[in-house]
Amino acid sequence: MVMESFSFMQSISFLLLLFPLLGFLAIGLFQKQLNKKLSGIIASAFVFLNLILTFILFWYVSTTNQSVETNLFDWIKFANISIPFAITVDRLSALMLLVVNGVGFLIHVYSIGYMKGDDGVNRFFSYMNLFIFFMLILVLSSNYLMLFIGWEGVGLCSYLLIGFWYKDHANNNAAKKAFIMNRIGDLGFLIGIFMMFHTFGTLNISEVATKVSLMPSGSTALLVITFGLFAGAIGKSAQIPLFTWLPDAMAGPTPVSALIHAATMVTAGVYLVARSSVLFVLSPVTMNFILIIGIFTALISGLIAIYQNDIKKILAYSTVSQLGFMFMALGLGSFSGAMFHLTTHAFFKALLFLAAGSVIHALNQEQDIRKMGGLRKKIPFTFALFAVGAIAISGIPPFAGFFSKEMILSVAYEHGMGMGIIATFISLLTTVYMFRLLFVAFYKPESDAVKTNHHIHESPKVMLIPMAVLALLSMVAGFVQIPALFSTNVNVFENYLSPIFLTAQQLVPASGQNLTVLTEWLTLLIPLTIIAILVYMSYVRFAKDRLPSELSGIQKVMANKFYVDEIYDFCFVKPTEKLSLFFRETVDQSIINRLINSIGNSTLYVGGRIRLLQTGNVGFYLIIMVFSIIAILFFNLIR
Amino acid sequence: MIIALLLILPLFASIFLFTGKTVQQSKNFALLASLAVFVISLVGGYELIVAPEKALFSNVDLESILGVNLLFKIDAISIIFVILTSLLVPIIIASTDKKEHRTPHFFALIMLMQTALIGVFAASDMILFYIFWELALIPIFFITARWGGENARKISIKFLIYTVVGSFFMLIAILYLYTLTPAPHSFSFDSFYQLKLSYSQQIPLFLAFFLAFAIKIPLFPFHSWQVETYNASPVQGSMLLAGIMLKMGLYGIVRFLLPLCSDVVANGSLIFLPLILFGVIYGAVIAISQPHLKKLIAFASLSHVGIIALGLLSNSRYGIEGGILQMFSHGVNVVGFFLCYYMIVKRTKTDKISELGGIASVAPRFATIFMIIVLANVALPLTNSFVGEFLILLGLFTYNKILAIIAGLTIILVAVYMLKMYQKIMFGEKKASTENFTDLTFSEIMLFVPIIIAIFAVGIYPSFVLQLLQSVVK
Repeated sequence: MVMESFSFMQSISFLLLLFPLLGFLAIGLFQKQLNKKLSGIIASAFVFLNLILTFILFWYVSTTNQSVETNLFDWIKFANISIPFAITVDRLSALMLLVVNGVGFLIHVYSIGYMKGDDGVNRFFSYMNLFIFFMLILVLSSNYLMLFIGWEGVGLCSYLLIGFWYKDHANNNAAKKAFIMNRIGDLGFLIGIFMMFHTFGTLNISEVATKVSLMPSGSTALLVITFGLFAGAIGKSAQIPLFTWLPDAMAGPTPVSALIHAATMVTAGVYLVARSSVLFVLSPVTMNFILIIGIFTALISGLIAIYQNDIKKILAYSTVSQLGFMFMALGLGSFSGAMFHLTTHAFFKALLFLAAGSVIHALNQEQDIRKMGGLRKKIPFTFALFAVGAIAISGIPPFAGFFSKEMILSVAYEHGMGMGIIATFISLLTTVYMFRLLFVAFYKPESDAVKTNHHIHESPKVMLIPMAVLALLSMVAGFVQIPALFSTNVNVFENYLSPIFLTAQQLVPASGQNLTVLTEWLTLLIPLTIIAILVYMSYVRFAKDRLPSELSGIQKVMANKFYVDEIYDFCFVKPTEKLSLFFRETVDQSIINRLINSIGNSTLYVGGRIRLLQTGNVGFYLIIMVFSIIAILFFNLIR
Repeated sequence: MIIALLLILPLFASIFLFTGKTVQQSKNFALLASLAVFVISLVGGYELIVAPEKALFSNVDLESILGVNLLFKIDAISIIFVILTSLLVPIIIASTDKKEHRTPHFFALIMLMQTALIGVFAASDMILFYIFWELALIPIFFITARWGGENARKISIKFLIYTVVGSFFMLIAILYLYTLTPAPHSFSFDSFYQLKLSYSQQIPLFLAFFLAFAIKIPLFPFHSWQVETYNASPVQGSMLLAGIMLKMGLYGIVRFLLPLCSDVVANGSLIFLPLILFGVIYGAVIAISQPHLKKLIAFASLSHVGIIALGLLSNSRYGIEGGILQMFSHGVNVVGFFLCYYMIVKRTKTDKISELGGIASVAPRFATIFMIIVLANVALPLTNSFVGEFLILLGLFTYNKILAIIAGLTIILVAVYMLKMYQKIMFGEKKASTENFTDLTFSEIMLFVPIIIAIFAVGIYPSFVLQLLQSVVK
């Protein structure tokens, strides 16, 4: 456990892990003693320190194109297995550091206001810092098993925070469901790791990448590894078929939904695939599978989102849909496109959740949008910020979502016109559910619940300022990557990440044909026109006071999220419970136990008959034992 | 010297306690003695870490009198279990509640148990091994029969018969081995290891040993004594059984089955690994719907030790080392789990999960500690069981991929039953039985401290143990 002396950058990368851990321990261990007003400030301060360190590291990796490798200690090391506790800061992890610490810091500050007055506020902030700690392990680790520590660690924090208000079993069930569904994916992840170790003899990310780049495309080993890793990603990033935990996870406090279930943890699957880009490009079957899963997830959850009435559920399905969109980009081989959308999405989805939290805060925990309406005038700042988020996520220029979506859409069109149209359709769904939400909650004439509620109030500054920062980012963050149509030399984002994905791109160059300028203009302008029409239609349809129409058959199916939960319950949960009862009552009690007892009893019976044994005479058995020992000794003497 | 102290100290303490009178002093005396044993075992551990290739020896030559050479040897494998025993026994003694008015005999039996257990792990001669193996039965039998719950006598007799039957098979195996050693015959382990057994000789040996150990561990379908005995025994007895005593069977696999029957293990794994694997899934599935906490622990334990057996028999060095590491971790975790059970039952007088609830809101310290123990059982990374189970599954995977994937299902099932149990007991609204639940006292927290330290120490820096083992596991 020798720690060699660290360079400056190495020390900084180590401190990144230390600060949130200290925050967790300090707040967690002194929960009772600590003043409830202080814990939020302490927790935020630690993340703020991390943010400063992140800027330094980001500056370093983006100017020097070097990565910072720090070996902390040997975690598992014996024979020919060596898995150190080691961290790597390169351009990809530096980007994730910015997102995690940046958005994380803002949400910590917001939480000071949001969680004020809650009894468990100290517990809340200790979990939040623990989450940052594990999330940083996840993005910084230089081998897959340590990444798995972070992977399961963030799952634990998610579990603890979804069930934060544990008196209500609905919350606990949601928490448990999240953990178990994630574990199903994690089993896949582990199998991928086993296969990886079996094939390459190492779990070090860069060593694996080097070794795999010499392998032929499409080998079975690679198929198993990539499917395993992607199974993990499906669980963590809530893709089909393991997506139902995320909407339920909204049972947690809203800042948790913003941080864990929108901006950071759920994007870990995208990060994992991007991090393993070399592995994935050499397994075309998996890439196609990712593409299909991404498309279906984005489509189905986008459709479900249109028919939800809970403000947080709409945003949750929206997150699932956007994640599906990112996986679609990955499946098409656009790793930087997926990472770009991951980044901008972190800003505007966090903003949307925080704004939704502000609404919920103002309305005393009301989450049903049908009981809102007219909030535009009651809480104007929240409205403005929410609107920025909605515009950004819908891909309306010049906000950030436009640029990141455009980057993915152009790849899709290069792949083929059909793919492009599917991608456009998916991205248009966003506009439908987002503007429905916006108009129903903020424009529609006030509902009775709002009219009679005289306590509706704008949130305090401590909540509004972090939202304003996120809104600013949602507006301007896109300009680092401008579509080639307007300018061919603003590719800051793609250039920044290009060293990371260089090997993958050299191995499997993009196969798409270039589009003519006219087609490019059309693929840009037609969707924008449709967006404008959709916004107008939504306004007409939802901003006026109209009685909600009856849902038709297919709409009902969508409103009930395609009955996926019910199907899982029927196919997996119920049978397991039945099997458990069958094993317990029938096999264990009636068969095995009875069999053993009857063997025992019959022996005793026979024994009793021939007067050798007396039932239950312990002394006798002990004597037998002693005699058998003496017999051995004797045997030994007379040999 | 160290071995002699490790064996004699608890034995003398036990004899002294048998003559003792007062209750509280006898507990303190036993605690003190067991702590002294713990310190001595750590000294032994230190000596082995300094020179892992060497082993601690103790040799009392009684060749002329009894025809046996009392040979003890503690190597890297032994020391792990000696330390496990001497770590857990003080916790078990200290956990005994004042209100239960245990007589000095209770503590005398625990100390006797410790002598026997250390003897099993330190013996390097089959006679000694067998004597200590059987000796360990006597105190646990009396602890269960005398201080147990409902039907304790009947159940303890069943337990005794069952395990004596198992030992009988081991005795046959030992005598068979003895006849194979070159004249003059010997019972020492080394003389057994030097035998080059043919395949046809290994088969009966394997069957006899396997049956004996399978009953002791226990493996499915020989487990029915386990659930009943855990349930009937006082909690200290359950801890001794689950934490340490069932490691004797696994230790037997490491000591005898692997070196002596290596060919059978290599060839026959596909026959008995699926059976063990079925037991692993079986225990976990039953735990899902188990209404009583103590029985849930028993079935969870059945599942967990099954995984260890899979690792040991996986023909892979990762599996074997992971299995040994996991034996230590499981001992720590299951005792922690039983302690949590005890804290609940002491206060509520019930272990029916459906009658419990809402404890987290009144006892936050207990909630945190219980959560850590649950997570250790769920094998979350950075807790002790993760590394062990990872290596076991990795070993199994290198041997047979399908088996490893099925075994991997337990990481899902364990989350299902553990979190379900924790939720029902700790979360939700308070119930009648938990209305007046008081949080842990200082002395109760102190019981958990060594367990939690062990959970994280092994979870964060397992290389310590793994490197110690690597010279011995080959």
